[in-house]
Amino acid sequence: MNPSPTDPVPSEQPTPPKAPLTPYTPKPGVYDEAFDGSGKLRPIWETLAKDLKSLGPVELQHRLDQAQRQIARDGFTFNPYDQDGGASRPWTLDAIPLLMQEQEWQNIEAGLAQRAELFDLILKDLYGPQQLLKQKHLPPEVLFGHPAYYPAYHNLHQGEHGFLHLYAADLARSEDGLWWVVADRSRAPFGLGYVLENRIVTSRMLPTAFRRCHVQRLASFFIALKDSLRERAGRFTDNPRVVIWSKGPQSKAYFEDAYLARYLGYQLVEGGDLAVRENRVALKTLGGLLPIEVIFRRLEDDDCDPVELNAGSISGVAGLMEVLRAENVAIANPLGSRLVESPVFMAFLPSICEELLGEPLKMHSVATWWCGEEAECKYVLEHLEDLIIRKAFRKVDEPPLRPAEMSKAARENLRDQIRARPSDFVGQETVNRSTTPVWSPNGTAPWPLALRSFLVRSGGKYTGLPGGLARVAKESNLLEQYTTTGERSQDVWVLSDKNIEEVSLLSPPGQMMTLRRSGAELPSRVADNLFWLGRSIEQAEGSARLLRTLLVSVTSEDSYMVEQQALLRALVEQGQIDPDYVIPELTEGLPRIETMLPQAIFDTNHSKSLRSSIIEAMRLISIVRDRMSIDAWRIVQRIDELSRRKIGNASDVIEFLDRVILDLVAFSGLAAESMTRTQGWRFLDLGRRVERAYQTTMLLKSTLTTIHDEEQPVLEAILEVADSIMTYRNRYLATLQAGPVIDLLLNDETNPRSIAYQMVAISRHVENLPRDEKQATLDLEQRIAMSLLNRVRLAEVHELVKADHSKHRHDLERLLTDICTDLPRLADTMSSRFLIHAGLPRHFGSIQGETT
Amino acid sequence: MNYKITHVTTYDYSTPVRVCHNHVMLTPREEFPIECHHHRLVIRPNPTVSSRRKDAFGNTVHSFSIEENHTQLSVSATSRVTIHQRTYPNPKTTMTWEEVQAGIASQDDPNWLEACQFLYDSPRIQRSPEFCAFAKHSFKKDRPILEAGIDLNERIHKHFKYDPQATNVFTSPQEAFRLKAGVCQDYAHVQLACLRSLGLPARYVSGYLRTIPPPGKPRLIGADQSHAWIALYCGPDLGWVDFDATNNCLIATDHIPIAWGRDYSDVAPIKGVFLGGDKHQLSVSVDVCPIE
Repeated sequence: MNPSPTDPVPSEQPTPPKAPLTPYTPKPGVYDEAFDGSGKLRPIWETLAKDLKSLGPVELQHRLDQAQRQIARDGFTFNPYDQDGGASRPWTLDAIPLLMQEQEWQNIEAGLAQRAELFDLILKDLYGPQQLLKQKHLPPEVLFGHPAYYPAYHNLHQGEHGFLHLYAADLARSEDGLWWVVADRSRAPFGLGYVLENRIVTSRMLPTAFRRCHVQRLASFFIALKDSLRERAGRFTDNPRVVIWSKGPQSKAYFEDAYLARYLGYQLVEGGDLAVRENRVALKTLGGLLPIEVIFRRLEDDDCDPVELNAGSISGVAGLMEVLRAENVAIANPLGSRLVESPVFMAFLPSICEELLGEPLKMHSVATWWCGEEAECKYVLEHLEDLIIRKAFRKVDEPPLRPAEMSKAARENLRDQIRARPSDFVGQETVNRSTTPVWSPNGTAPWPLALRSFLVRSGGKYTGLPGGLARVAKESNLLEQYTTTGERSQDVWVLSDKNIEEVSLLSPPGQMMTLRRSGAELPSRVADNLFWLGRSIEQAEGSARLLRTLLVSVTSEDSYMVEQQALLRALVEQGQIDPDYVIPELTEGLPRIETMLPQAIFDTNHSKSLRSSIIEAMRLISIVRDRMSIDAWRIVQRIDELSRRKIGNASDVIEFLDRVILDLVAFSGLAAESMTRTQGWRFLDLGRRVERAYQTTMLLKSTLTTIHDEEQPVLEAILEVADSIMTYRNRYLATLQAGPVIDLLLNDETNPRSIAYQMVAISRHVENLPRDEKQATLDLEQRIAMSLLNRVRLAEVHELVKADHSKHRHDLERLLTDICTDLPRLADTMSSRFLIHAGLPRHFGSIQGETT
Repeated sequence: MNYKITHVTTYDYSTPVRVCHNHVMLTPREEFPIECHHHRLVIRPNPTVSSRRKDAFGNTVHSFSIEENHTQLSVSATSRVTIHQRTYPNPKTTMTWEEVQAGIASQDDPNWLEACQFLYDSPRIQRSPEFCAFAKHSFKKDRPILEAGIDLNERIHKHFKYDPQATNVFTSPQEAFRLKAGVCQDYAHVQLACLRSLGLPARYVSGYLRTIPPPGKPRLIGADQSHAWIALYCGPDLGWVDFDATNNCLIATDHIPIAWGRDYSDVAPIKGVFLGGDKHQLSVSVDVCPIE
């Protein structure tokens, strides 16, 4: 776990902590959210202030630490930069929420609803009749010159439900107490998941104040969001299939996408989970293709269909645009919606509002000049140092340029750039942002504030989220950099005068859910990942047990070389160590085993090392996180943290292995006890069983097929590795013989570590995989599983244990070799049937050499 | 002039393709100078789903998908058309290019909105000072637009060496301009970049060109090819005038336009995505047959 999130501020002093909100000195000339100009606390803050005071600084810090640990445990990291694959850091919350009066919030909501309405009309018009262009309310360049514009977006819009579904605005409050919009977001606004987490954690941290303050609940907004998606469905309108379409784990928004999917109860999908068949979008599942009615889109507009939009995108689904044209699926926000979030539109909103709605714009944008118009460009060039410069057309999030902070040469260079392509730039004023109290044990300080508000269109009107995402930073500039940067976040409380009605997403009143027990809707990709997660967890456990037994033996006094040789051979077979260690002539110059093993364990360059198996398990569980319990995720995360530090000392390594094994066992216990027996669980368990059968087979094969002069220590070590020594001792006391050991580890169907036990489990799982009921013959994977089970069942221990004159157990070796060959075949057959629905889509080679 | 045009595209795959989604632009626009008497599009195997619509530029687009295993896909378009003769005024008597440009910029030109679609950067065309400078040698101050356009057409023709090996379908106009070599697509893209860098609306036209066999030789059937050129907006009187820089001419009745857009990416004859198929081989046969 990352140690840093609990440190609230870097410059912590060992002085006694100061009470929250006192003393507090607002900055002169700046609006403060909590204190008025005369330094008096605003009335809405009184209840909270009282509560914070009675808690006292020590208790508050204690609760904040707890909250921060909770956030870290939930894995709430975020990537502050608007690019995929950027570095993530833990989400940091402040102890003090931002308070807002209901009336003030309603004004903001009304202003933003009007703004959303306006963007909705602009989008409908630009992709339709283009009256705004024809009547010269907007210059044609804002559409035709927009780098994110595709002609294919025209006339895609579906009827009555409005174009803009979800909208967010970034707000700043100026000295005079007025709110300004500094940025609009019309694609798939970031932050709803973080708003939810902030609320959950903050209400838990300050339960008394939360209750006494009459804080408006967020659930009503999410109900509106769900309603809005449902009403967009073309059919099955009571219970349409809605999916959240994410770009995938490499995208910075993936964490939030998964969080929202779980909260809203929708399937989380990626492009690879979707297919267009018979002019419908379908979800590829183990049970076949299931048609989708509504897509809640979380990726770029032009990533959605490689046939008609960005051909280079691998996140999309081919043929989607045609399905949209046929109105066989709805997508929110509709494709092309991102057009209006470009700053260039801000310059035209006031006049368009008068034109389209016949009323003045209620919520103003920060003053914006588009350099594409001559007079405006002249103004910007003349006032360059008083303004910030942004790209007029937003394609990726870029920090604004600040001419005032530039060198003279850089400023001239910028002037040249603006003169060369004026339409690409806007100049904007900046807002001297309001401050709000931010807590630290050193005292509460006024930090500049940025607020993101969200609105959704449901039932023909826009409904706001009563609250929002507040970002605070010591330096105001940091808030302008990207719309997601900031040092900390605060929950936003909209305080009501009245008592708050409890609303919850969990059980909508008067709506009885259909009971369901199936899990056939498991996307094939998820099943594949669960299968491999099971395998990598089991692989880690097998390695850890083998390594532990060997290390204990190497470091103990009464060790026998013979068992070490056998175990080393097993490690070589698994590809964990250098084969030279089992060739007597070559071992001379090699480092000692005690030094070599710890290195081999943590070697990330080696794909079969323990560390590599753990990294793989961590990667896979991150992908299927929305399918696993939080506890399961935490266990794997803990193992991952544990194995990050390299340990050189053998006895420390043994202790490390003990802990890893315990955690892995805990994971298995959790999977066995807490996962419902869906197809998802089945694939996870199949992975485990296949891997365990394989590991045990390899272990027996590398240790028992040749008889050693002294077999007892080898047998004991094998039992130890296979975690079966207690059972053996119970049955046979201290007498160690090959026959009973082989029986226990190979044939005994009651021993959960035996090969036979795995085979029984595998064939039961294979029987229960979804398949065509009418089919009379057995599928290939059924036949392989059955044949494996039968061969193990029919094997005769007395025959297996026999050896020829060169001390070789031929029968045992043949059986184990067969198993080693058939298990991978079984895995491959299943993969090709259930797990890989399709390869990567490709484009037609374009036609070349055309002309005369 | 009357033509029968047959355009057959065949994809052969080494292993079966399970699904493909495609987008085809092979149907002639029905407006002057072209008159389409008959058009037929045959797709084999039969598509699971297909549709026909007009895109944002008024071109006819066929979309189709095939959702059964197939190892060959063929798309054949047959059209019977008449191409009418266009007449051009004396180039010296046309509007100056600055007047055309100003008409669009001030939105006084009756066709300004349509023209604006072809005025800015597009996926394959980026305006630049370099192209502007090159174009300015033809577009001298107060020069009549048709005269300047013809001059630029000739200069681009001379700038380039026709060489199908020099470029491919993804080559940028900047790169082709630097290489001074390429095919019709490269000529057209460079010409568009030049004209738009001056602030003049210009569009990409895809179509066919009749080939005239050498004297005494028979016409080779199926040996024709797709062709591309550009059209420049020359003001309300003259409208759009088509220039073929590859052949250094204004188009007459030998050129058969099919579709137009901002650049190649808007009018690619066939595009699509398929699953499976491993290696694929493409063969195209175009036959432009004059009918008396």
